[in-house]
Amino acid sequence: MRKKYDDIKALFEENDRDVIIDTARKQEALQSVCTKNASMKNTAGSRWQLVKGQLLYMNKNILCFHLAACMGMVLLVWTNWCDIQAWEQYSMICSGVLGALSVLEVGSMFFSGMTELEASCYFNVRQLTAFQMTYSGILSLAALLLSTVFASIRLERNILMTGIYILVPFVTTECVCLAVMLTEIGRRNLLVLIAAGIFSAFFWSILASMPRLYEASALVFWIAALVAGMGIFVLQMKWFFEILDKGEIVCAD
Amino acid sequence: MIHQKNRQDCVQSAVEMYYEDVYRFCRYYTGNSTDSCDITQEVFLRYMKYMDSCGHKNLKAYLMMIARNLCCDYFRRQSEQREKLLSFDMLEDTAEGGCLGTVRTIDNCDSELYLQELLQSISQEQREVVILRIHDGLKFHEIAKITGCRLSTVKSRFRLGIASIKKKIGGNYA
Repeated sequence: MRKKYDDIKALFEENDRDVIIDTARKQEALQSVCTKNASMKNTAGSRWQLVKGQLLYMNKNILCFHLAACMGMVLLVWTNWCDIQAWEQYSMICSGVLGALSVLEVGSMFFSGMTELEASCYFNVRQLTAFQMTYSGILSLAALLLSTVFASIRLERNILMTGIYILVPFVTTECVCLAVMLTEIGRRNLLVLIAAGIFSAFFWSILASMPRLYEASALVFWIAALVAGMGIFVLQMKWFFEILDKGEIVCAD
Repeated sequence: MIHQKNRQDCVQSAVEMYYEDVYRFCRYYTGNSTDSCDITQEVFLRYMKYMDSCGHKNLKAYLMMIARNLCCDYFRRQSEQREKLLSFDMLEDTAEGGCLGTVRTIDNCDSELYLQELLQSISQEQREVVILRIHDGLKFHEIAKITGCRLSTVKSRFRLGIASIKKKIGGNYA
């Protein structure tokens, strides 16, 4: 059966016959493949060097901020600086800030242009992103856990309930910031990401000031919010890595 | 992990089999023969680099996906350097006095230039779908996977691209 685009196909075929493949360039491609293969053999033995290189080029400023925020949150409870009402409010804000910093740390790779070095320095962006997300997540969660444990000891809060309350702003702020990171504008402008983080933390501080928000009857709402937030976060991560693999986020070289 | 020797053999046979296809795709897509050679070479280097981690059923489609991504980077770089603006101006100049602006037909026109002008006259998204479908004979679902779009989007782009080319050639396509 004759297709409606047969004439365009014929044009392609006609043109293909005229296009002369440069055999010298083809041989050059083959040669470069062989050379690269040999060099890959050499680099395989120095994997630690690659990890060291990745650690060296990481943006450590946000990591310092992150560490300071984590320590501040733990010290807030440890030093008995605030009463229980104030702690509830501060912990919500701190939790939101930690969530924003966790995403900001991953975002720093794209803002600093570090990913552009992938080809020349044998960086693996996917690996590095996963690594940064893991350690920044662990750092934040460790701070939240410690804070929750101290709150349960010193302020006599129910540990499970407190843990759930405190995790919700963390997860939702991460979702908001990651949603920003998934947009082209958000990736290109650090301020947009920071603004999203501040907005989310501000939102939670307002919510935390509402009375009777932490009563046991509201626990169902908090659990539902946490589950929904985690679900969205997982989907966002999947999407993020998908577009990372496709090279839409990172310039492939 | 693929053995070093096997890896080389795999990529070498891929170069032997698909170099022409990848090169032609890049050439039609970018419209630049010199840069297409560089991109084609880079395609096989990338293939070798990621062949351990990437499972692929259709090698040609996989190579085309790498080629398409590298071409997108090429366009992005071009855009950043504002060279694309220059080439667009040049293309417009050519189109005005060249094949598309006049009553020139396939028979009396240099086919390569004519085809290039037709392809450059449609959007980048439509162009990649048209080339992959008509020239490389890939299925719509394979193109959807390569471009990361939905099947309906790919079909729509194809239809619009073909309609636009047909309009310029002088035929009808509904």
